[in-house]
Amino acid sequence: MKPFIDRRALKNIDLSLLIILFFILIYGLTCLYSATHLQNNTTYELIFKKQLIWICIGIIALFTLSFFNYTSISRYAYLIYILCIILLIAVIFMGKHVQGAKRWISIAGFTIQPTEFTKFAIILSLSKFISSKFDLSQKNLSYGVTFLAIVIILIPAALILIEPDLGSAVVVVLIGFSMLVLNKMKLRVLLILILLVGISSPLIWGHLKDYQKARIKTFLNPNLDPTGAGYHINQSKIAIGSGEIMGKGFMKGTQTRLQYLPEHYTDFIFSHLAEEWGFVGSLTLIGLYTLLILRCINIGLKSKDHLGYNLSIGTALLFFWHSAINLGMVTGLLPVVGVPLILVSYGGSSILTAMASLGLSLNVAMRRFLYR
Amino acid sequence: MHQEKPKIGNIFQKSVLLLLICIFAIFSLIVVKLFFLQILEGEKYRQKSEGNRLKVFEIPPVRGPILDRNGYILASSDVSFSLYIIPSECKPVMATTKAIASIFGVESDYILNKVKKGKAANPYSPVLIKKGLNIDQITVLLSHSFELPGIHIEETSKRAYPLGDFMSHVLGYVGEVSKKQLEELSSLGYKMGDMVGKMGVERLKETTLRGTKGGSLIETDALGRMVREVTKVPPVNGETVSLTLDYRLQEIVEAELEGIRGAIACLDPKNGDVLAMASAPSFDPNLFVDGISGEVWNSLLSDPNKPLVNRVVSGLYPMGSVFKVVVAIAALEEGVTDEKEMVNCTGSYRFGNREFGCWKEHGHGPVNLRRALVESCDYYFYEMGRRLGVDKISLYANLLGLGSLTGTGLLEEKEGIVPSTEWKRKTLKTPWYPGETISYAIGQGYLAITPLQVARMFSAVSNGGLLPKVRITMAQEEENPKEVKLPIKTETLRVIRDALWGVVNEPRGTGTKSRVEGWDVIGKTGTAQTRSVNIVEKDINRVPYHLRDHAWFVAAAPKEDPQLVVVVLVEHGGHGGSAAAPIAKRIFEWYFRGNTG
Repeated sequence: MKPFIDRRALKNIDLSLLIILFFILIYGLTCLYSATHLQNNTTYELIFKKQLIWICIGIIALFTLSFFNYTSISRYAYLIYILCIILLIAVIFMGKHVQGAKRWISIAGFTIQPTEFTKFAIILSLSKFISSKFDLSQKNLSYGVTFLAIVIILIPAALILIEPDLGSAVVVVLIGFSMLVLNKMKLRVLLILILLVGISSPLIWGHLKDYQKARIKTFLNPNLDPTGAGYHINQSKIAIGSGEIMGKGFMKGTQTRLQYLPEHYTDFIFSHLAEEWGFVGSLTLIGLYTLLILRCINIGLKSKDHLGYNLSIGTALLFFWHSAINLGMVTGLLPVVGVPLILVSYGGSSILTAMASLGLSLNVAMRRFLYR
Repeated sequence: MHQEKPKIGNIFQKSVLLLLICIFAIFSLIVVKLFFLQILEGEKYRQKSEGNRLKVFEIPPVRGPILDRNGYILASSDVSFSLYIIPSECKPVMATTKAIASIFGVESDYILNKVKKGKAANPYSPVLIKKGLNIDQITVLLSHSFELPGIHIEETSKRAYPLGDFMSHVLGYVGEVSKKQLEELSSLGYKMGDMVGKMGVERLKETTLRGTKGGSLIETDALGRMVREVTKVPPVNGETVSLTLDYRLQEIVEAELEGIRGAIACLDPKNGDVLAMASAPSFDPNLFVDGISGEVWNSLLSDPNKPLVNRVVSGLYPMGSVFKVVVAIAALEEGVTDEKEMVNCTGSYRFGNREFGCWKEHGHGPVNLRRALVESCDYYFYEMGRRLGVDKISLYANLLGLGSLTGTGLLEEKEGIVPSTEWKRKTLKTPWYPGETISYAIGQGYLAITPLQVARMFSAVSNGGLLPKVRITMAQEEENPKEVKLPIKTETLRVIRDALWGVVNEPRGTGTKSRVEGWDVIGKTGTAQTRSVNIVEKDINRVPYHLRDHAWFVAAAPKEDPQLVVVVLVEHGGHGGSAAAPIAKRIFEWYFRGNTG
């Protein structure tokens, strides 16, 4: 691996991606500051400092991953993938219990969420696998490659489901299958898979935890139990709706400041943002995400090779599915499944994964004119 | 170095287009949802978030006192102590509630349920356990406060009637607003558990006495803990209500009613002020303040003596011979007789094929109007009744305020019945029989009036024809007491007053037992048959005359410048002259002795 960057690559650094990222990070930190500095309650103030540290680590990861040639990085794809699988198994056996699920693992004093890293591993290893097995002259992805790719997706997805973390499992599956579709997977395979999910969903329902069933039932009818399972979504809607057009203003969101909104700095941080910044603020964030996603897609399309295309498209999908599911969840379009708002919600593993993925995209952009 | 560019962009163009459509669709859906939440329904959610955050705690006003005309306190607001429990602090809940229950001697489940209910609503908000703690209970609670976590004794104001059952019918009482009342009163800011006047002046002057609730707007967090007080509006305490009654006269009057069933009212005939008003038996309004037990309430309701009824304004009675005053006025005014005409009383008046007896079995012999009133000759008034007819009599009865509200405003006051041909046709769907006029002329039959109406009528007779509006409370602002000048000749009333003087002061008068040495008392006795209210019985004369009669006496003094009208009704007291007149005499004696020093 060449240790350092080519001068020409540095010249091609994608500034627009970095600028969009900068705005998202600043916006996110502003919201997190307000969400953690409450009236008469200092218990959350440390969260903001921790997030700052994680973002610094994320920025280091972003640049590190963009400095090394992505083709070299892809050599470690399967190693990273296997490491993640081991971590996921470790979580199942020695993870920390939080709300009936094991999602966190402590390593050297850090609490990490292997689920998040798995998303990065899936993007990396699927990109590597497909681009090495798929000849660009072929019309479609062959059945053999499709099958193996599905295995690569489903092994970690199944482990995540065992934790159980339905939301992340869904995100992993969506990213993986979207990547397959974007690599000319046969549509008939997709249809068969959708059919299979349809048939097996009653089986899945039987294996869901009670709280997950309650959340899905609540999603179907939020007024079923407004103080219990419906509490989250009702308070979230009140927070979002009460922001109206212009919002209540920075540090003035009563739903958060008085702690009516649960998980206000993690999964439900968008509700807090929408309360303080209103419809205008909500649109601004969605706009920033859209720009970031489009930028990544653009990088993918302009990439010099298939691997670069897959890496950048994978990053775009990570951002797209994460934001879509989180926003759908907090606005009541989807059941509450526990997916963080990427780059804005508090969480080191999530930040690190997002920044590392963007590092890959940046990497691809920098090297689009460079051929070895 | 440069190879042919593998056109990645071209190869995956279609797939990426699909992705773009997908992104556009999903993000649009989210934006539309946000549009609905934040713009279309934003106002609704804004209100919900305010409702989440802001809670109103009421600060009750202190109820205004009720004073007599001299400023003597009749109803006041005392400090009271109530026990509250804060559910979140009440641990262990079982042991604590059990200990508290043993202090009050109630089932521990009763208290446990209250705490649990409160905990479900808001564990940080105090739950009312008991009002009106006595000093022993407070001592025990405070000395064990360490073993009773979460208890909290709060000072509130409470209605108190320092004189117990004194003047209770006039004052009325307050009680917790009932569910039924709440439907009407909730728009005025009443809530469950609020006190409201339920009778008497407490009910009449509710809006004056009640004051205005204050409140503080508290911002609370999701756990119900107070974050800060947003605004505070202090309560406006209720205003003072002064009665026209004089507690000293009332004391005399109530002492006279000791041990009997009856009613007494004293009016100032010049302006209609009620100076005393008593109904017996009485009740203690303090019973209602802390919430009356079902047992006590039922015993009050089912008591045959009806202690809760203010007989002065709600008791309906036949008027008996007191009504002869009305008939006499009607006869003179209508010209069916004059002062001099003599009617020969034979003791039995024949009308159609029926005989109507005079109370004096062998008759009074020839009597004129004056003698007929003095000796209360029934025969004479049978004849006047026949000459006048029911409607002419009722015209004068109505003029003199009988059968209508007296003006006190008391909500429990009744109008009563002054019958007429039209009234009978409308309510009973039968025509008026001429025979009914004969008994009506001596105050029997359908006639049903309240003692206060009698006092008001007598005020007009004694003061020369001014029918006052009866007042029970002093006017808040300068208000002209509405008096009605009756279209009755002064000469007529003078003749009547002379005769009524004779009732009290002439040897054969029926009311001589009310004679007060040195004062010219005028009055009229009455002995009313109770059976007359039984309208099923058509022939009134078949009922024995002496059975269960109510004794009436109404009087005014002094004759030339009347200062006091007294009406006395003793239920089933027998003859008015012997049962009611002596009571009036003692009231006059006290009153005039007091007023002349």
